[in-house]
Amino acid sequence: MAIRINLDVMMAKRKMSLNELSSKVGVTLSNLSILKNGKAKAIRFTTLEAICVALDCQPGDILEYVHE
Amino acid sequence: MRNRSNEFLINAVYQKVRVLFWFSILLFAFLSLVNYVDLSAPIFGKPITFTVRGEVSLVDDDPKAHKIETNSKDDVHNEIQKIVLKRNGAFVRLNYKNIFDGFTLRNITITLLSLLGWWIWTVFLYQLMKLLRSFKAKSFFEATNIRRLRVMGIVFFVSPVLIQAKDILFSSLVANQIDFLGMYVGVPNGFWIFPSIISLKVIFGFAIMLFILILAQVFAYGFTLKKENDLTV
Repeated sequence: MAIRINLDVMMAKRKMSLNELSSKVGVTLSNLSILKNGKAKAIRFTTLEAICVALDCQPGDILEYVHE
Repeated sequence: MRNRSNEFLINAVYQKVRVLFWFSILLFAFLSLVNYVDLSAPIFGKPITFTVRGEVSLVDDDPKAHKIETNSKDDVHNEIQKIVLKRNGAFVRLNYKNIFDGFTLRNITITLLSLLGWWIWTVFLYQLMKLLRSFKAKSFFEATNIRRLRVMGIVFFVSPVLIQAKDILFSSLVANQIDFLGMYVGVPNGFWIFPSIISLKVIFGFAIMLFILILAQVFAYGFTLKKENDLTV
């Protein structure tokens, strides 16, 4: 997909596991793994905000547009 | 409470449709047997009574038209017991020894069309049963359900069309076999058997097919929405 999710990169920088992130963000583990694997079709702003708060980053650190 | 009553309704309808499905198999097996007997009369040698309905019209202005003259007794069919004719083209009922003229392509096609026209309802009931079962399991907007609805819609139209085709062929079979020995029908009087290509059942089947196919499109849209929603994080 053209929008790449760099969630694993950010999680490695902040040294956070998926379980911990899911409990902080308030999203189920399955949904988070869908997001991480690039299978998600859409993301809510509330979820994006919660991820950015949990990982202390900007949306641009997580979302990246790759021209195909 | 409302959710509970909806569940109950779907379950109740599903149980009834399931019963109807299994009953329809028995019913159509019986109808197939009856149809077979009807068209294989020479083997059994039984007299056939058939009623030609609705499309038979007797043109009658001549009062001499219904006069019956007997020819030699050997030539008159024994089975012509009663000829009931109504004017104004309502209904003609005749008894004949048999109307079966052999295992021609037309007769075989008549049997096959009528069999298919009836048995296709089993397919419809099966699809409906599966659909209701998936509704019971709360999976509404699935690809299989959309396909089931489309099949149901198509069956609703195809079945009356097949039955109508059978009616047309059967009318031609009857028209070829009707033999008014011993009955004088004056010129220009006569009668005709007029099968219609588009009948009421075909129109109803078409209308209901439209509704069911529209519903299938609605389900397809719901499927898209659900897919998007399921993959929204």
